[in-house]
Amino acid sequence: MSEDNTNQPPSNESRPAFEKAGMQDTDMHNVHDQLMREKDEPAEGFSPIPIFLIFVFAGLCFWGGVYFIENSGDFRWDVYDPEYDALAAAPPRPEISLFDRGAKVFRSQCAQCHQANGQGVPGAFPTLVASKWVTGSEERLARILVNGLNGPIIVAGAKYNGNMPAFGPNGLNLKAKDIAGVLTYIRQEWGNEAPEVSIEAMEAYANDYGPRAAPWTADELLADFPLEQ
Amino acid sequence: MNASATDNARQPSIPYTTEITSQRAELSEIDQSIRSASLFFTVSAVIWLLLGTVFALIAAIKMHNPEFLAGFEAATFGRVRSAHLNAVALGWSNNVIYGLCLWIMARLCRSPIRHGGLLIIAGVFWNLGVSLGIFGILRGDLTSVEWLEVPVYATPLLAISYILIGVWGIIAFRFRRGDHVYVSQWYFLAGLFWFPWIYVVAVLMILWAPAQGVVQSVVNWWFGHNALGLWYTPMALGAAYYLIPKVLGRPIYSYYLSVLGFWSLALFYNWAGIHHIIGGPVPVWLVSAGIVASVMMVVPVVVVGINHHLSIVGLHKEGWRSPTIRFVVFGAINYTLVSLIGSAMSLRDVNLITHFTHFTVGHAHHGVYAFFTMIMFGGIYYMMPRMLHREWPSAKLIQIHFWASGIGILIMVIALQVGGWYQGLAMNNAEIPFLEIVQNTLPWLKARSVSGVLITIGHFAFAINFFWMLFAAGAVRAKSGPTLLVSTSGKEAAG
Repeated sequence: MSEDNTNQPPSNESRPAFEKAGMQDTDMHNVHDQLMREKDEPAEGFSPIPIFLIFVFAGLCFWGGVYFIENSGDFRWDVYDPEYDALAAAPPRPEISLFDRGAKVFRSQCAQCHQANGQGVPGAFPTLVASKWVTGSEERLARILVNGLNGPIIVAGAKYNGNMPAFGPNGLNLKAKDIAGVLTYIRQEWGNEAPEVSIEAMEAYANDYGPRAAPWTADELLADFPLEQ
Repeated sequence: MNASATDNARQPSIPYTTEITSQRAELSEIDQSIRSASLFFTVSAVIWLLLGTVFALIAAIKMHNPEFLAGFEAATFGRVRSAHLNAVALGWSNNVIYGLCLWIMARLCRSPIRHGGLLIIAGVFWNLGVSLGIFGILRGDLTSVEWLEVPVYATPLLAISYILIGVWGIIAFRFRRGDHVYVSQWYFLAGLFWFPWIYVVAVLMILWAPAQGVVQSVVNWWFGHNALGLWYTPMALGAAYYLIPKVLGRPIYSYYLSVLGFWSLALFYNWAGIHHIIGGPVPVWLVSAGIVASVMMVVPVVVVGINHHLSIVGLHKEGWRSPTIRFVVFGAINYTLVSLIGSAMSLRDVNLITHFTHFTVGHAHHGVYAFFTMIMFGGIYYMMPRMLHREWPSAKLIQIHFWASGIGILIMVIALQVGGWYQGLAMNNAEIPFLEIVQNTLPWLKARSVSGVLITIGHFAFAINFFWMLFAAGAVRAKSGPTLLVSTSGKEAAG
């Protein structure tokens, strides 16, 4: 760019400051003294940017992006702590009771056959209301859920003949806490009054009976756990 | 400061060709057009520099001898410290920028300053504003906002007179000749826009119509840091970009590095101020953005450092002889140092130690003095002979100025930063009683006062030389040839 300064033809424009002759000869001499020893007005070379700098700067940009996101406090106006962890800070999901969980599971999995009011369908799907099968032995009830039930069964004096699918690991594979929930629900809803079924107990039953492939029959169950009076 | 001109300055090394004569005549015309205004600003700057130095010395001594001048209300630490800051920031720094950078701008734009008389009138109002501000601070009217201590009643005068001054640089740029816009012109043009923008926004949001709550502190440090980064820094870099090739007669190493350095400064600097309130009740993402931007400032700093270094390399001997280059190189080296230290200080782990200690005070002086002010000294040493058509009377005084100021500021930065680091470590230890920590800073604060005395000596050497040249006696008028610090034969060339 130095050409810009040096190779320019002399300008023909008038130079009022010089034509004014406002200076003495000695002053004029001094002007030349300081001005003429000056170097040219500055110019720039066009050397390329050293390549290693590009890598250094790319590294800096990468660090900057990572640091900013790591310490962004989720871009919230009310977060002042750089260690803020959006996941940890989220309020814990309220733990719902076994009964409420069971109610949900019942509506989605059981109510088609046993009906929302638990009365079932005469001849096919047994009632769950005022039934010793429901309020009686916990383990007998759990077996039905884990492996299912096949064939005739007498419930509350009425006879039913249908198929109950397995909800255990070999069947529809509900989680132990969902099964425990639904058992608790049917044992405490519609006027039934039986203790809840804990998740731990249900996990144990799922372990014990999970490997069994065949559904139970009513006779098999009654042989192990006679119906309560 | 041409090397070969020392033997007989009346036979310049450059042959008189028509192109060069015409070019130099043009420069002479431009110099003439801004001469009175530049001289006015530079003289004001030097007077404010001396006043600011005296305030600084009082404040420094009061840090370890509180009973010093205890009977004077105007000399209480809080007032005299703020008077120092505003005298050197608004009085010295702004005036010297107006004097030096408008002149360089006019030269690079090849555009004489029109109606220079109006510029002087605007300058008079600026200096009235600064005087009113300092007077108000000493009276006790100062605000509690760092960097904006000037009482509210002086701010409109400052804002308006600044705009009337800054517009001259923009007019010069508007009427520029030649196709190429040189890197110094970018920095000056940008700075001339940035400063009124940040100043007006800051006084508006903090003093005139205060924003609510922590927004004030965000604006405060956005302004405080940008005053350094988007005003003093670009003006000093622009001056260095002009002076280095001008004195050494060699082009700047790389246009591409200049572009990268300018735009990365423009992109990152204005985010960085928030690192002053790390740990404060400010949304953490804002602080993190400030930290990232502060670290990204490594880009413009390294780029400018390399560009300057490669423009000078190999000409150190010649540079050492020239007062201008000696000061400018000192400033340029310290620009790299202070900026890298600043980037490190913005990291949370480092800031945990340095925040609220003398380390920060050392850093501020490192930047504004060792970098900005030293480059401005270099610029004055270059400009004055061209303005007055005289030579500097005494090389000895320039030597004293350089060594006293250079060693003084290095002692100050080292004392405050080493002492501040220990102070910060101790303050993070709850076992150590606070008063013991204060006691332990005393030796470092005394060292700072010693450095202050050195710097004062340097400033008075500079002022004596300056006014000697200004009100030159016959002996000074008769002197010819540049005033160099080391002659080719090893002796002082001037005296």
